[in-house]
Amino acid sequence: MNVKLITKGIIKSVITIITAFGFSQIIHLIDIQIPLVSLGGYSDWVLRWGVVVAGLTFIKDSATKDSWRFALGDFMISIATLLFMFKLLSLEITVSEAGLTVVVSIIGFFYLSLIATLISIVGKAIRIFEGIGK
Amino acid sequence: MMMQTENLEEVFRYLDSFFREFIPFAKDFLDLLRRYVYPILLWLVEIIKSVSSYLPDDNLIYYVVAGIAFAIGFILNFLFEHPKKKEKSES
Repeated sequence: MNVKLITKGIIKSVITIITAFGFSQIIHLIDIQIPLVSLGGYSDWVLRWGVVVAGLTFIKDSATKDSWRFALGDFMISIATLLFMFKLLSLEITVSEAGLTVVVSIIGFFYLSLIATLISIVGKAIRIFEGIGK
Repeated sequence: MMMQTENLEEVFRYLDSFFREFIPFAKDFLDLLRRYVYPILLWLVEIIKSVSSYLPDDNLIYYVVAGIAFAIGFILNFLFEHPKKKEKSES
């Protein structure tokens, strides 16, 4: 057991949780302050994403750099990001005024993010095998 | 600056031969993408869609997942990370 690495992991995951909480609160505030715009569920999903990623960050950062544990944590963060990114982008933003409602869907961005994340996932999977023995 | 026509012709000749060779290859490559890569991507999107539709609305489950990740992190740290022993200085 390496207390130094565990401390580092805990600090990083707390920072992740605080960031996610901050972002979700900002989105929540926008939702309340601008009554025309409805960001249904965005703040909840950002917080959930942050909670899961904080746990996985602990796996990553409580390990020696360039070891397979570090790469495994990184790999799992990418997969979680892929899933939650889909969930976030598939939500719809509604803008409504008297007699007119506009629904904005940004799911098209998912294909862009999918390609970028797939490339990084392949790279991280290779790193797991590179880190065996370290 | 004036460009010499002979050189320009040479450049065009080079470009012509390049594209004559390159375009059949590009066609093959696009065909390859359309046949094999595109269906795999669509299949992946379908998997991600179905998995993300199972993500529940209950916050507790995400806290539990994070807790399990913390436990795994602790176990891996306990098993594999050992602090380096200090080398004894020669007296």
